[in-house]
Amino acid sequence: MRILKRNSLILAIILSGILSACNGGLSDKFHMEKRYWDLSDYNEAVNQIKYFTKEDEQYPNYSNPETSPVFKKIVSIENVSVVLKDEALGLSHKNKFAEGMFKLQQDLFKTYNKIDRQDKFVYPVELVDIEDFGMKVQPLYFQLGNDQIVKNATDPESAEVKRMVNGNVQTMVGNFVNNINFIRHEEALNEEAKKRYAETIKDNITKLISDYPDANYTSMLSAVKTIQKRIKDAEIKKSFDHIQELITANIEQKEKKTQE
Amino acid sequence: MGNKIIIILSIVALFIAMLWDINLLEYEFPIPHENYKKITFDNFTGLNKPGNTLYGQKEFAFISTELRTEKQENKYRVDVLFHPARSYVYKKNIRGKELLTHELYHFHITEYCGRLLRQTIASSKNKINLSELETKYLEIENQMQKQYDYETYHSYVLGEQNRWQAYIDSCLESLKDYESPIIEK
Repeated sequence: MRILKRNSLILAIILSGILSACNGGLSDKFHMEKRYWDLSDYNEAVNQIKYFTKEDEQYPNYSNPETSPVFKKIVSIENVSVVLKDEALGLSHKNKFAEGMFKLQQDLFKTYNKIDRQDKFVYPVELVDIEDFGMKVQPLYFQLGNDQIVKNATDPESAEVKRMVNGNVQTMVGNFVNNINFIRHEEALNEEAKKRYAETIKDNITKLISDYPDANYTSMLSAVKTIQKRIKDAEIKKSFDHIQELITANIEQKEKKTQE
Repeated sequence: MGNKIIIILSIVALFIAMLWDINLLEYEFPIPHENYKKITFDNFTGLNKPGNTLYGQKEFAFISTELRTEKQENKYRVDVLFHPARSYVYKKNIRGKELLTHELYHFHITEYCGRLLRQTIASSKNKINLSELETKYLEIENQMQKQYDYETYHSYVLGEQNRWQAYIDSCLESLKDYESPIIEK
């Protein structure tokens, strides 16, 4: 009887161990209990997605109630701006964080950029939101970079410094042109993704032009005009019309100033 | 004989379990708020349970403070204390100045609530129900501590940390007259 009781206890312990190992649930590499993620949390999360998602599993996405919060956390700009907009933090520290986030966003885009057998994006809405995240991170990143250039310069007003600062802004404008060209994959997007894209491209570029009115948007205008010809979605067309108007007005204003 | 062994083992197990609450092996007496400037992480001698972290992180600390009231003959005492043997760092080699400052401001929040309680006792013309007052100000303290940790995220949001520090400093300054733990009635 005693042997039977002892064996039952051992069996119960082993079974509970197996059961707890088999339990589903999110990986602890997604630090969902944390309010804010730092760079190492992000890198852990992205590595977990890239290297440890099983073949029959999906990446965190909006359609999966269990993993949707993970994806939302990954593309939450609040997590980034809480550091990059904190004036109490040093420029070097913020620049390091911003550079990490910039690279991470590119990595994330490559990871989620999968197409199915019908040449449709597997994660269309998620991909658009990763683009949106990138368009929000970049102005913060480039601005911090420029602030650091000015701070470290012997003469912040020198032509060389101005050239570097303007060069960085133009690089950013060029990156946004890539975001415009993303829509050449229009047919790979679903309706929700197209709607999201129409909103985010309009909002982000409007803000870009407002924050950097002195930048050169000629290449962006050319890109918009070219891509407009092939767009079918009405909302996206409307957004591009709006962007075109803004850029045209910006260029005309600069020409007027030059003539004066 | 078997029973004796079980009793001894139970006492040892109980003692070990108690250590996670208060480290009797490295016990230090509670430190009153007036001596807060002497506190360093070396005073955080409490034991953390193995594997225990805060939000999966080890770069945090835990401070134990107490608001203690007592009625003596014709006076009241409201002491605000830091408990070294109940306070710990999650990772032994964490000694950041910022983190220590964050933890000390938890202590200052307790002191602020202590001063509010002293002020209430000093200005009260009615019979004082000390237990009720203590419960009330402990609740206020609890809310404030939670808000402080939430908004600063344990000093991760440095701008908020600075803002809270300035706010708590001004709160303490405004109740400077109630610094003494003793209230004569």
